[in-house]
Amino acid sequence: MSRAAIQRLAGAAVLLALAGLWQLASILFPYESAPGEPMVPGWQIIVTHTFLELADYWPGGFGVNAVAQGGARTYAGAALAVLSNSWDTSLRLYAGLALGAAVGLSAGLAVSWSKWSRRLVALPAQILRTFPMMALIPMFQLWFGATFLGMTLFVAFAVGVIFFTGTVNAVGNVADVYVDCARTQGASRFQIYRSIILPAMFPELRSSILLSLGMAWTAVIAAEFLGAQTGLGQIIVFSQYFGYVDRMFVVALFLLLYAAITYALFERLSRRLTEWMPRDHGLGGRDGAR
Amino acid sequence: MAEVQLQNVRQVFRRSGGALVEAVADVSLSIRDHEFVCLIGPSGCGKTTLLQLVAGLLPVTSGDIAVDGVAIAGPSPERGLVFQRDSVFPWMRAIDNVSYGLKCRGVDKAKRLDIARAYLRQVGLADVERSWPRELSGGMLKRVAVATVFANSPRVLLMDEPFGALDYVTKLQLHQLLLTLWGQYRPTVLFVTHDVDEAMLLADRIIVMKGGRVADDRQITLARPRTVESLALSEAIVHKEVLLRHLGLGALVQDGTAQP
Repeated sequence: MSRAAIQRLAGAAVLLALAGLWQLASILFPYESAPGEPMVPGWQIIVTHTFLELADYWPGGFGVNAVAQGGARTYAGAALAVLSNSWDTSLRLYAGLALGAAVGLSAGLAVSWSKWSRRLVALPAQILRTFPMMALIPMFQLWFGATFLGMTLFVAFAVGVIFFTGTVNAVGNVADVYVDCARTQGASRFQIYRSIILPAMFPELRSSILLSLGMAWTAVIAAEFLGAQTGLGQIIVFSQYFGYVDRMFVVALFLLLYAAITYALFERLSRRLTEWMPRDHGLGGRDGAR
Repeated sequence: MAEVQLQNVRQVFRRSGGALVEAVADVSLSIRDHEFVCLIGPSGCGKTTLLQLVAGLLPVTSGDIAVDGVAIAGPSPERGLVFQRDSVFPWMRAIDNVSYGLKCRGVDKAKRLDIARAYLRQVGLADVERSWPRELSGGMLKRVAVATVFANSPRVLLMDEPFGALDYVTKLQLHQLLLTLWGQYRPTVLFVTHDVDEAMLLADRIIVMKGGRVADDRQITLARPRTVESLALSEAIVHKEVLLRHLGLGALVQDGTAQP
């Protein structure tokens, strides 16, 4: 068997072991969060009941009636519920991610652009950066309510501060010789940022981007906790009211899946953007940030 | 035409400790068109700083630098610089590196690639134009850097210990290449080195710097192309002995005939 195959097998074994531990916990701790609702629901419940129960979160449409209006719990309803709520959460997430990345990157670049832009941006950004993110949620909620704009801005904030810090750091580590070489060839400052700073800093910015992807998922769920009418975070909140630990767990599994897809997509893009880099040294550094 | 004039050039900088350091102290030089000048001196003598001043990468503290009577203002492709460190952009293929300066000046794509291709061919890298720098050896990267600087048609060519890190054979090959290109495109060259043999092989004129000042200024009139034989002539030996003494290597010189 090849080494890669053994590694894949080992990875699968770890996942299986984790699932087994969960099952063991469900047997060892048979407490209930609400009558009939186990605190640690075993796989036999999750696999049989829980997914179907997610049909409760389908507001009706496409010929599938809402459970709240007397419709039956169907797999179609459950699938529609998962899809539509995932869609809403993803929109908030990616809109916030794009906005936060653009603003954080621009602010980070502005720090090194000129003395004036540094004075304008550096201090406010450093102050914003140190705000505890979770403490800002109630404020965002009061300002924007549980709207798309409010949640997107919150995600953008969480992503933006990471991008800002990462960009400032990465720009600072671009070797002077590249910038000097471009200057002696007649490059304008804008050309230097576009063709030297951005590509040179990307490998170092990668870890900040990965970090911000994780943070974006955390932020969007946190934002949805506070009164969102749809979304995966809202399902978790509703489940908590009734002690449905199994539903929370399934939503968490979906989140895990989505985050993994996000990482994989970024990894593909990143590999294309760093095609020029010296190849992996085999110590797992390039995968280490996952 | 590209005469380089330095008039009472001085450059002072502040160390991170706070102490003021005079890297270049009152240097006045007049370099003729197409002259090949080597700047030599012990490390810390200000030769690299002087080169950066001429490149426009550093501002002078006082004094004037002019090319053909026009005071310089910042860096410009007319004064090309080959760096000591690897300056080839690793995120651009060889040909995109060579055509970078042309791109910055808005030369259209087909034309700049043609020009870059011609220079790559001249430095012997026609077959690696699509390679990433990571795929090239140290000597090939220097060839890319040389092609890049010549693609900008510089009137003044500044070189900062460009071949210091290369092996012996590669270095000699690049000397020949450089002399060929210099003969063909006729830039004025200011070449910083700490290698006496390199300077003797290349230069029309060797300027010795010590403590930020010009300590010696020697015309090397040996015929070109220079060979192992011409570099063993007594005229060459005297130059070499004087230069070694300047560098504090008097112990390598047998008698006292060659005084700086």
